[in-house]
Amino acid sequence: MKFNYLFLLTLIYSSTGLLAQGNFNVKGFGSMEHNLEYHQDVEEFDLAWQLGEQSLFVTGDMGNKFSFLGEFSLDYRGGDIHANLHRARIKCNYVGNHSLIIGQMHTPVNYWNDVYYHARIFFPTTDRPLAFSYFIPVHSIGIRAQGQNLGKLNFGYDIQTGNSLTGDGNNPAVLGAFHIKPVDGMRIGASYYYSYIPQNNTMQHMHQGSGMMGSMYAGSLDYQLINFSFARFETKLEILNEFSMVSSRSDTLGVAEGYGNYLYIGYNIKEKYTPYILLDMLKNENNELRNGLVNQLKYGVGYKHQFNPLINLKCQIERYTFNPNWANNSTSNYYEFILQLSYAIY
Amino acid sequence: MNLYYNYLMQYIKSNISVFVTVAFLFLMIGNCSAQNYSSRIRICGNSIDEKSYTKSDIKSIFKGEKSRWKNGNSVILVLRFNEDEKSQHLAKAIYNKSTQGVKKFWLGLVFSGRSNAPLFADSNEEALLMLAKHKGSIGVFVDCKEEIPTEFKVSIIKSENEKSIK
Repeated sequence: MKFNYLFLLTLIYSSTGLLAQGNFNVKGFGSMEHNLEYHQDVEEFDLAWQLGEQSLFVTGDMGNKFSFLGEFSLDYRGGDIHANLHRARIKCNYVGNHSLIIGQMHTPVNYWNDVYYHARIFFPTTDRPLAFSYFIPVHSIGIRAQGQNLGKLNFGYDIQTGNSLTGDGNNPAVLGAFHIKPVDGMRIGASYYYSYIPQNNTMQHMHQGSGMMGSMYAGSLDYQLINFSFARFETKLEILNEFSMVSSRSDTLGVAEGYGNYLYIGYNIKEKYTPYILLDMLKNENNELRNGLVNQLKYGVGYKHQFNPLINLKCQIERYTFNPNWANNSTSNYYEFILQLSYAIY
Repeated sequence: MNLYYNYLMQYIKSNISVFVTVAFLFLMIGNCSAQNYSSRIRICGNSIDEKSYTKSDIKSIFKGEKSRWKNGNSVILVLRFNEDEKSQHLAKAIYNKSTQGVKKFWLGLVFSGRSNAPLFADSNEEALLMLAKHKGSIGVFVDCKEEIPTEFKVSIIKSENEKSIK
């Protein structure tokens, strides 16, 4: 079992929060789940209990204009405890609803990454969209200009520059994102992200699975990502659609494209009971040299039971079709049943 | 390799703008309505911009859509909030939600880093103390029997175009 300094930071943050006065506070988020997989090809069942990410979230004011937000998590994988620093950012609200943010943050490319982050209690389904495993730059280190709730349509913008997708500071990535919130609970947004990668590698600000071709192709890439998000919550009928389109250009194989679309539709019954359906698909072309050939399709039904705003239980049954990796273009199928308990400590 | 959903992906790609437009128009219908307020609601503010606001302004402020007053003070929300009937009335009148819904709303908003959490008080007395302590704070009270200092009083005015404002 391996501990690192972030675990100590966790303890320090926690104890400080308990003793703190004023607007410094600490919250916790976590999840635990049980998975049952049935692999059609080999006709075998896999059963597993899993402890999900356990996150600590801290906020604090630093005078009238400045505030701090930090988030880090611990999760247990492969017999080791992994600590991750997700966010550490300082925000300066310089005028009205306009702010400058500096530090490590979640890249606001789409609704999911801007709103849910790592707290599964907010997730409408048990997992992130498939695009998060390949296309979405989850974290960024840099500076961001942010505006929100401007005008009658509640217009918001995020203009950001930071390290490239592979963490290279000499070739900064840029992002432009905007959204409107025309009525309560609805948000419509789009974004454009560009990163020049001088040397492709597996280092990245994404989740596991992305940058798979890093070991095979070490050349340069122009990486562009366009996202459209539509979210409708706080009503009986809930909808979330995340569309992602990636285009990468390499000197050797030219322009290649990939697409992903995640759709969630849920229906709230008395706020506590939410049956839902999901459809998630992802396709990446063979000549794309960041992730290589990817074909994935996931669809299923689920049910969320909200005991109260701080704890909920999700049950989800899904069918998953995929090619295992870029080097293996055969397809596999399996069914998965997930029972996930997610919570917030407030 | 082409899986059978390849056609579907291409279809979505070529028609995404149509989907978004149709969904937007469909979901806009029936969502513009004025908030129901009652004489039970009272608004108080300490060193904020105005002495009177429209209902839609109040709703917008208490949903965390305003970060800073024009006088430079940060907006600090004070809510007398627990599980009682007064809180249920407040939740319905200001947020059009249940008390549980309001808690969930703030939990999500604070976690996204887009707004600061309100200061929650268990009683009107406690809320008034918080209000007096923080410049830029604004509070909402239900059935407030306590005497409110004149400088904290904020009136709610009607607006001609109330129904067109969210």
